[in-house]
Amino acid sequence: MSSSNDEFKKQIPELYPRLHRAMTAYLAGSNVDPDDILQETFLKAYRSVDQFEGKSGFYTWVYSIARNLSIDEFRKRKHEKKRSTVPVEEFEIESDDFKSEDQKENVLILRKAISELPELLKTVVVMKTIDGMSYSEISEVLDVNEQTLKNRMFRARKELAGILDKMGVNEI
Amino acid sequence: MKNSEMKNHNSLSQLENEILQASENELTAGERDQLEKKLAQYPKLEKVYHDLTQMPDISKAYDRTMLSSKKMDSNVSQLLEAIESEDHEHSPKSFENLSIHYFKRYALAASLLFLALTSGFYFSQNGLAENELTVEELLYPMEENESETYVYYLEQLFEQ
Repeated sequence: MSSSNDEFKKQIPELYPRLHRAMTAYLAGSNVDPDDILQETFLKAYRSVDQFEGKSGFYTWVYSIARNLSIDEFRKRKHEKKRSTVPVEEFEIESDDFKSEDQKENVLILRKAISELPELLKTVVVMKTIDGMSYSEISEVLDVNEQTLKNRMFRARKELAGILDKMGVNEI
Repeated sequence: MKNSEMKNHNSLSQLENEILQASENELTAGERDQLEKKLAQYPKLEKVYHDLTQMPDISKAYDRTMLSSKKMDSNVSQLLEAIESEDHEHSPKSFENLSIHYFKRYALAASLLFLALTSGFYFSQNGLAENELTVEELLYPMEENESETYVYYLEQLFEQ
């Protein structure tokens, strides 16, 4: 076992919860389990940690592995066709940290709206808005220039505004 | 594209960028005021600006704890255990892995050596058998015709 393996292993407890949250958002509405994707992602990353060039942080590297594995799963399951048919109730929330049922309902609708975005746009929304990555970090993961990402984000927000408007959500 | 069209396109792209910044709360109040003034000339973009800036905060969709810390800890522990067991499986200390390691490493050399030995043995045995057969054929011919031919040959030889 190399020193890179050791270093990576030490970072897992810190990387895992953040990636879990991001993948939960990214995979919401699909029938792909984020727990499975994360397990596979970290094992794959651990096995190939010697290939990590260190240009960016471990997180962006692991994120790109997780995204690629998810896309493979989507392809296997032909998930895209089924995605928009998932009812709001299936976007379950484990936390009960809500002031009211209405607020909880609005969060569920917001999650459904995000899940209805095309993969290309949803990726940017999840990475930027939910995961808090910068455009330069997203650019490294997706290998797309920053201006293109901003254009996608603009389109994504426009689409989301439209979806939410149709769903009757104005404020959360 | 004509120059005027190009300029218009660039200014629209610039305005879209600024609208995006506004929706991500990255503009100061002064910058927002300036943007709103510029957007007054573009009613469609002005509407988009209002839609985007009044949209619910997307980050709130997943800002609460998704999993209990217990569940998260258990997931991380399971993952670390899986890694440990994988390390153990791939560890060169295990007898099984050592055997596989050395087998892979020396398999080619061993196969070549085996091939050379068996070929050498085969050829040596083959050569010996051929020689033995020649002597036998000369001294103890298998068929009667052959012995007659051989006797006839010897008689002719002595006559000469």
